[in-house]
Amino acid sequence: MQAKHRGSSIISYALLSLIILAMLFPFAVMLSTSLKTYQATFQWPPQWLSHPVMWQNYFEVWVSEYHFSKPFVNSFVVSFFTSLLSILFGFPAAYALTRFRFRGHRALMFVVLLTQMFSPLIIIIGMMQMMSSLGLINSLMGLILSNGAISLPMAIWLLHGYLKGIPLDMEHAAMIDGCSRVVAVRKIIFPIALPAVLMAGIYAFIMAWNNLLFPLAFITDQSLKTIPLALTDFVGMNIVYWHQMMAGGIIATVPIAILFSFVQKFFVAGIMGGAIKE
Amino acid sequence: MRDSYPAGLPKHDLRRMISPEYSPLCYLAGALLILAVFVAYPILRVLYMSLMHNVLTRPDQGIYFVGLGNFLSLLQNADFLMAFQRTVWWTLLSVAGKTVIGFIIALLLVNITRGKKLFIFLLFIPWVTPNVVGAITWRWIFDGQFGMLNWLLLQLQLISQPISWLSSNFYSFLFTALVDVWVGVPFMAIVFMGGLQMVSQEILESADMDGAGYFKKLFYIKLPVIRPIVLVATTLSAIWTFNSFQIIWPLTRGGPVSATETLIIKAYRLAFGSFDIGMGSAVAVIIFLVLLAFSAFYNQKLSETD
Repeated sequence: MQAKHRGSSIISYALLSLIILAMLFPFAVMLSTSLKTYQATFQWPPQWLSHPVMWQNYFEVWVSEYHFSKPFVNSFVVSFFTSLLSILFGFPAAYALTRFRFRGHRALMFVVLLTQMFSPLIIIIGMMQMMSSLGLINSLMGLILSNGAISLPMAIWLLHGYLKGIPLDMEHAAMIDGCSRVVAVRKIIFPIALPAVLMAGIYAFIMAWNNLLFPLAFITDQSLKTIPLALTDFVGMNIVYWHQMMAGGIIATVPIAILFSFVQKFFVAGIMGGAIKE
Repeated sequence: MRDSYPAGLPKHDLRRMISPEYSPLCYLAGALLILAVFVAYPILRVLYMSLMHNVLTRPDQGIYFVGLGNFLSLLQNADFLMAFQRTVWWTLLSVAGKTVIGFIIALLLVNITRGKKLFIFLLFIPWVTPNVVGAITWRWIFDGQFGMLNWLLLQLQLISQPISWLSSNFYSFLFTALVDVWVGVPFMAIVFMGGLQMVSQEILESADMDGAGYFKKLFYIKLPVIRPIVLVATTLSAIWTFNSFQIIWPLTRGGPVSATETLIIKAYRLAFGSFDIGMGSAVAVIIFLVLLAFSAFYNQKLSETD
């Protein structure tokens, strides 16, 4: 029995390693290409490690030709404020949904759920004219608002799941001591819910960082492009500098991978917990 | 909560309705405003525009009401019907891939103890990578002249000369789905793993005693337990896949010609390529209705499992 179990776990390790190697294959290609010279990208047969090793590609993509620093900063601004917006409005809304009973409660939860199902394309087509009359075309503000609109329901969803688990006694006690509800929420509930708040914020950040549709539809100004739009445009050019593109890809992935590693543990539980219990 | 707290004001007093002590209004106002402007309004607006003839590049034709005209012409349009069919197949292919591979990974993950966290972290990298970064990397791998895929297949002697994969209708369809699978597998694997961990160890052991083999246990014990989770995860995944834009667009932009043009790409091309807002909206409405039906199904299945 014991031996049999050990045998099956060795097979599991072997198979898992194989699958994960296959899944990480594109990253090997990305890394290898990002360290090549322009000429070496068109060498056949391709070399995994070609000399000289061009670490300077990472710097080059930042300043020359592709000017990757601009999209990077734009993406950062958009993602940061999207994240702020979804917490700022999502937290109080989630609080109200767990602590008050009111007409339209169920309808609101349904809308929150529904928003996760429909494509951002509806927002884009439906909002186009209003966005242009409000001057939100070619503006980072427009991107923050539209990204915020799809992240907010998710933030409400995640926070609602967490706040439900915080006993009412918490703010009761404070309120009996003479605190107003607002103070009790700010001083007691918010700190307890901080892990969920961070998670909702990071989720919104990642989603905004990832989003291609909104900038594709709303941004034409070269200097306002975000990373996904900039990369999509570069790949359509006549000459593609794959070595710099891959360096850019890695630069774009690292911040997100770091943020994600903080919330990895709660992540799926948060989404699925909500989905299964509701 | 509200009732347990002494209420000093009559129920319908305005001060009470906007008071942060007794009323949810202040807490909800911001979110409601955003949902109204960015969710409710666009849906209504798209519904309205789908009933209009409105081509931005042809102001001479004017903007006028056509009722269900846009929908009727879509339903008679072979291109649209093809795109619909294509979307269904593409979604099925991708979701099936994610589900099967995700499930295999989950089965393997519950089998190991040491290094599990590391495996999960590595597994999640494709999911965390921005979609466009993943897509363009694959585009480089599929490159017809210098791509690693050609190199790999030539090494293995599976092909005799390089193939321009993304110029072929068949391969571009297959490979865009493959990249979508690559992105979606980690989520499926983790969700299924969570489900498999709920399977009672005692029951498995007693099945062992009775001499049940691996597949017997899989089909008669594990699968029935995680059935509801599989259902939820595949439904969610189907909705996301149906909506998938960010993989196909950087890879092929719907091409070659329209080999990878799913409905979402079609709607985008109509509204922002041909500036036909009426038709673009009509396609968006159809997508919306399909997903609404799907969500209803999902909701019903959820309430059944409760």
